[in-house]
Amino acid sequence: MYLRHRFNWLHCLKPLLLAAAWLAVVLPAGESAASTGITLGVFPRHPALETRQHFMPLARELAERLGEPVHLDVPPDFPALWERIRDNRYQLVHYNAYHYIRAHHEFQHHAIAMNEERGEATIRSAIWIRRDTPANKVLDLKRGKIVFGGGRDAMVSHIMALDLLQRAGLAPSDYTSQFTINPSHALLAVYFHQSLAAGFAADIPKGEPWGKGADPTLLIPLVVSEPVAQHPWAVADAVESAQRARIRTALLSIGDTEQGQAALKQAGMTGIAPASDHDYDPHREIVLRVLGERY
Amino acid sequence: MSSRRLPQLPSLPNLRTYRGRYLFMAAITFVAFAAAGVIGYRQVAEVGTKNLANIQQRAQATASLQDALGLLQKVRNQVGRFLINPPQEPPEQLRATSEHLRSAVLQLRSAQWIRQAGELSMLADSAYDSLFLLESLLDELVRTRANRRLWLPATRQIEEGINPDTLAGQGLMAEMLDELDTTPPNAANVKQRAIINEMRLRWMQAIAEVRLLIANRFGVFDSNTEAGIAARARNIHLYLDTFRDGLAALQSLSDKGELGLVTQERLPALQEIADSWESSVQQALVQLTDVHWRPDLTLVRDDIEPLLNSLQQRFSSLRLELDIESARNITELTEVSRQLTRFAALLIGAGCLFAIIAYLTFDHMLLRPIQHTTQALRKEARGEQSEPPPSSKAGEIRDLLDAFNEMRQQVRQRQAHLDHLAHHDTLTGLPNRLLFRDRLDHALARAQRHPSMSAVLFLDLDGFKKINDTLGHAAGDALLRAAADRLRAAVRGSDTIARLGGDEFAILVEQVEYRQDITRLGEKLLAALETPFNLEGRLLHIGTSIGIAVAPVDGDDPESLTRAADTAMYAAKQAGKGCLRYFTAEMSRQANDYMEMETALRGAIANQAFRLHFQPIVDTRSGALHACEVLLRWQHPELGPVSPAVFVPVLDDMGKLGEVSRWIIAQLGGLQQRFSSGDDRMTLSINLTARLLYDDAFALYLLDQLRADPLAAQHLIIEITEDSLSADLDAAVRVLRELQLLGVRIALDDFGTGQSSLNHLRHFRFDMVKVDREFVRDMPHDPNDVSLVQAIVDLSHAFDMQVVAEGVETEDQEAMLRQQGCDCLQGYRISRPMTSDALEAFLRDHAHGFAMPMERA
Repeated sequence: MYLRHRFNWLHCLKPLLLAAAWLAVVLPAGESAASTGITLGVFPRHPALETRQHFMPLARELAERLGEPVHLDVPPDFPALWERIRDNRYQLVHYNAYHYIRAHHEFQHHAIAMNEERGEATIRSAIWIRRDTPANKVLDLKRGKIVFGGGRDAMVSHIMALDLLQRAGLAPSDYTSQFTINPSHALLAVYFHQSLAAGFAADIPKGEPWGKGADPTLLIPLVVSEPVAQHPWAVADAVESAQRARIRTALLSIGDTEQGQAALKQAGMTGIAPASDHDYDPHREIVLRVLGERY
Repeated sequence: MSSRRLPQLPSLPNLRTYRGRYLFMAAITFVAFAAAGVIGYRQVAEVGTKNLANIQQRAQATASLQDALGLLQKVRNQVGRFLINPPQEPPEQLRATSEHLRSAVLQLRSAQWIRQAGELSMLADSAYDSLFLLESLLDELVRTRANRRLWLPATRQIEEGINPDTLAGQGLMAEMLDELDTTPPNAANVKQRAIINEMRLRWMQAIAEVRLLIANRFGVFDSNTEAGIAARARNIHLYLDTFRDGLAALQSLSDKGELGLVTQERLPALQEIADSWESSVQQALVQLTDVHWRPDLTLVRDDIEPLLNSLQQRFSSLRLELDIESARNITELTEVSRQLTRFAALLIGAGCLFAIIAYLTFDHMLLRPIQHTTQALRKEARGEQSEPPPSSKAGEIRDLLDAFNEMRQQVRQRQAHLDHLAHHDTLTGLPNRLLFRDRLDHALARAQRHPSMSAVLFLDLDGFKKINDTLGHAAGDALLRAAADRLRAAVRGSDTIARLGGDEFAILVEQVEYRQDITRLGEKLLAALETPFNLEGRLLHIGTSIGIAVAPVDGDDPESLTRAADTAMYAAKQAGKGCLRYFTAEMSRQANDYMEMETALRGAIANQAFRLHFQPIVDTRSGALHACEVLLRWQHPELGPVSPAVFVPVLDDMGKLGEVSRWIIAQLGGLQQRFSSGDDRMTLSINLTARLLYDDAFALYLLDQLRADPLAAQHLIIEITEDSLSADLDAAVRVLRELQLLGVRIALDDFGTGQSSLNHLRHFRFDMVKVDREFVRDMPHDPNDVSLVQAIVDLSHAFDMQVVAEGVETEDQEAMLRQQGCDCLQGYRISRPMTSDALEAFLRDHAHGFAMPMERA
């Protein structure tokens, strides 16, 4: 983890601000969530507090467009998210694709939209290596260490990456796998020679987490997957079709204003595109191939 | 009121001086390098401090992580050992290890590096929280493993069902056999005993199979436990079936009443026990073949092991993050090192650039101006024209350039003055010989490119020498200036007129088409100088002789052309002066003759080829020999006798007259004694040009010789030619007076021919005056000469001087001179000049005095 040692007032104030924001949004929601408005659950793509900070403006934009309160809820981890989904606490959920197809299978949640990041509504997985690594194909990674980030449930960083390896003839027993605390650190592990390869999205992020002196262009993708749909936005089965349409329209129109663009940018997106459950059939096939789970 | 002076503040360096610039640049360089040093130091210190802190934090986290990983592995091992042999691994140790693990993770959690990163902190927190679950699972494991019925649920059926039924069955069959033992043997008994023994055997075999089944469950015999268990179960059923066959046989005997009472009573119980036993075995078999046949294993497999794996994975992730961070720090340090290297290279580059700029500046501001100044100085030293060095803004260089320019200006002025002096005559301001030669050189060169005629007119003033000698150098100089002005006025502007030295002038005339033009110019010059000069109220008459040489006919180089003009000028002189002559080949021949004469004279001097002749001077009244004039004679090896009038001027021109005179003076004493009569030495008279007396060395020689031989001085007459005396007699007079003090008599020779004759008499008291033969020649027929000689005699006598008449040849001349009171006579009338031997004979013949021819006649 790249540690910053400069004293930053913003960092000190951040927890206080977030706590205040949380009190402002969650407490009232706790009182009236059951009676009015919709509750938006967001899978903790980053630490919960950070994720909340990212999605707060977007929740406001959504509430403004729906004309009713939107209560943002970011569970601390996936089990908590899953439990709350099981408890039917959310009308709208922003999912990881893997969790979505499970939720669709178990709780009949329906995708209505998906992220658009860097102008793309699809995402591809890749196996990354250093440019100076003597590997030309996936099989050259045999007996090496491959790192993944985002946990075992991470669709792009782990499951799709495993699929790439598997389809190239590399079984899990052919390499040592290890997990980093987040997907981007898998790239760092490769860059700093701590791993032979890493599973990650086909596009390398700029800025963080690269520190001083690091050159991301030294990393190259060894193999790239077919594009699949980005993270979905899904509604619970109990949400009526009219409400479902209203939510969908509101989501798709967030990028129409500058404020909405800013909110999307804060959430790491460039837009929200329409989606349906069929857009996640490729994910289902991949999960079936890799994990043997049929959803 | 006293005023206190404020201390003078140090002033800022003047940037217009090199000192100021140097100080300024030194200050800037110092500040730049100091700033670079501070920045570099701060950067290194900042990165060093940060990375040191990172390393310390990571070291703390790594130590805790290693402890945690080690303890996790220890827990895994202990759990394994505990499963195999609980007594060997006391539960206390397992608990202690798990507590240590929790302590290590707690320490890891509190590591600063972990706490500063949210995700890592969450990971560590979750790991810590999982440890509580692990501890509870381990407790459950211990509890399970400690209770046999818990860790092997089939134990209950074995203990409560199988084992009691086994013992009960064996007891019943033993009672049956005991009854048979107490009963007398018969065929029924034998059969019954055989049945019971068979049953007893099968019962024991079934029990053994149960034991083997349990052993199979624990994998004692085969790794394929399921197949072993199935085989044992089948055997148990087979043995039980056989056992039940025995029971049926006994029941048949019982029905027949062939059984004993005891056996009769025990048979139903044995039947019941067999059923119960089978049921217990069946239940135990179900439990032993269940996936949870050992709950401790299930607990380990389903809960503890995944938890341990999860912890292991989290710790591995943390270790990976540590490794990434270490690599990142190394990369960062490498980058800082690279930056420092770049910085150092930049500093070196900047230093080099600074040095280059400093050199260029130094070169531009200092070296080049100095080089330019040096080059200019060299050019100035060589006398070449040089551009003034470019000015500089630097004070020192500007001062240097100012000093140089000032020096340059002064040197040029002096050079110009020296050039003028070197190329011009200081007296007349006319070009001198050097400049004339240079211009002549250029003129001849131009004439070669554009054929034309050029002429050199060589002028020598006639009569100037006499005026200079008689009226002095000041008058001579004034006359030369005036003559130069007239000559300058007479020539064209394009002509070059130069003073070559003394009274010699030369005129260069270029681009001449006709010889007549040169002649006209020469005549114009002659006319210009014939007009008398009025100097301080005195009219002076001079003229000039002009020799003309024309290029390229008479010479095509400066030397030959000038020599030709000079030769022509001598020809003009010889032609009577006041005329012009063009150079001819004949003149060249004459000049060659002159040179040949010079050569011959040098030989004569070296070989002492000169001879002395003597001509008597007799007293007019007594007829006695008064003295003999010593006359120099020279016999040319080829030409024969040469007149003194010819060779003496040549000797004079050669500067050898003094040497020849010394030769004569050296012989005087001897000659006087040789020609003496008794004790009285012969008085000899010698001729000296006054110019020799101006020569201090010669004068000293003469005086020394005479002081060494006083008698020689007393019998010596020195004749000074009048025209050799200059107007400034002082130098000559001092020598003449010293000679007179030694007893030498001084005669003024050729009196009357000079222009300052009377003036000479006024300045010096001569002992004798010799009347020139010109005045005697026409006597007594020319009344003017008679009157003039009479006047000279009277004048001389008035000044108490003796008068000697020269050139007396006739009796009438002798008579007239005698009548006029002339004291002595000299000439052919008395005797021709003669050799020493002839003189001796002459003296012997006239031992008693000289009778005048007239008297003898």
